[in-house]
Amino acid sequence: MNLYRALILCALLSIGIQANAAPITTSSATPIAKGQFIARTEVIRQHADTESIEFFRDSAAATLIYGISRKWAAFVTNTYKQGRLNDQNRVRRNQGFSDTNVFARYTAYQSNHLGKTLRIAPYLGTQIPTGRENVSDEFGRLPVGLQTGHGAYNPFAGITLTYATIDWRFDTQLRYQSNNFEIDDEWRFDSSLQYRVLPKVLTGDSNAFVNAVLEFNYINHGRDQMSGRNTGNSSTLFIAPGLQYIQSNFIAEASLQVPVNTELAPGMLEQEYIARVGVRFNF
Amino acid sequence: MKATTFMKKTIFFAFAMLLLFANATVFAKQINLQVDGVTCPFCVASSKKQLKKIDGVTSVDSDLENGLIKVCAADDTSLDDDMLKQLFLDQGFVYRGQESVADCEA
Repeated sequence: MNLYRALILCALLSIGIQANAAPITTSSATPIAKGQFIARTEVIRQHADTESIEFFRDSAAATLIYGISRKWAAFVTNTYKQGRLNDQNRVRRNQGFSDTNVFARYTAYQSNHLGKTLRIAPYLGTQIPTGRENVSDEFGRLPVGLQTGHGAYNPFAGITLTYATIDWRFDTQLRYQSNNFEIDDEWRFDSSLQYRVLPKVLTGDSNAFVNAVLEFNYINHGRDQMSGRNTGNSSTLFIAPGLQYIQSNFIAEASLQVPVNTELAPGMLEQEYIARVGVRFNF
Repeated sequence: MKATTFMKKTIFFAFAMLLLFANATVFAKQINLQVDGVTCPFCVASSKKQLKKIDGVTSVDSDLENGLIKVCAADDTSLDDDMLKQLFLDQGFVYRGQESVADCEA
């Protein structure tokens, strides 16, 4: 494999990896009370490959959310990544803290009724380049997908809608991220349906829920502009079934995200799965 | 000597009875708060914490199906509607009103 092809593959690989950065049930307009902190941690395992390349990444993501006021909430997210790329006879690795996502969400509309709520909340933020984007090994500079950062401030914006009842809830979001580093912009559309399976009948002392979760993530990346080549758009539709255990002080959740429809540029790695286990606390 | 000891025991017993009686006379009432927009146990946790900070409130529970937050408080505790309205507004919910129930549920 010549250097140029390797670089293109790596760039494409990174597209595929970024396409799976959608966290389960995070993007919502759920109320964050004024003065309330919520912490979320996730352990993520992802696997992508082509005929000759295999990629694994284990990540531990942490998110801190703070309710600034009844309408404004601030979010900070960082991830520790450990990646491994098996490219024919070569094994390449990297690990470290990722770029940091910082964003603010504003609850623009809410309608509350007995046991149900509808909320719409746009958000705006940026990716701060706290990760490293220029790490090399004995074979040269690591591919973009193995780097822990992107080396640029990448702004993003989105809008979320949540409709929740005590029996089920629906969250959806539209998100756009501008990427200034070798890969073009990203559009995504996510939807999540959560249905309470336990307890089947609520009583006055029902203080814990078990929800079945089904999510869809459609992610579209613009063309790869690296080296002036146009590799075309790529898009992937994921389905992610999962489970949540909800108590007053924490939520434990797990999901398995798999692609159901993929249109990738030639040589691009295809995601096999992303497994997630996480927990959120409020304090 | 024996008389002194007996006296001490009597006084101690009298104090113990007094304390017991005093405790028994502090009644607790239950106040049901009607709140709109609450849909899950995790969503209501912050509201419970805020309510527990109010003087006289001893426990807080929720009844999601009926949109109720049940507050157990000392009999002389007063929960002001304006205060509750602002409290739940800050939590992202809508306070509709309150109803006093005779005694706290065990």
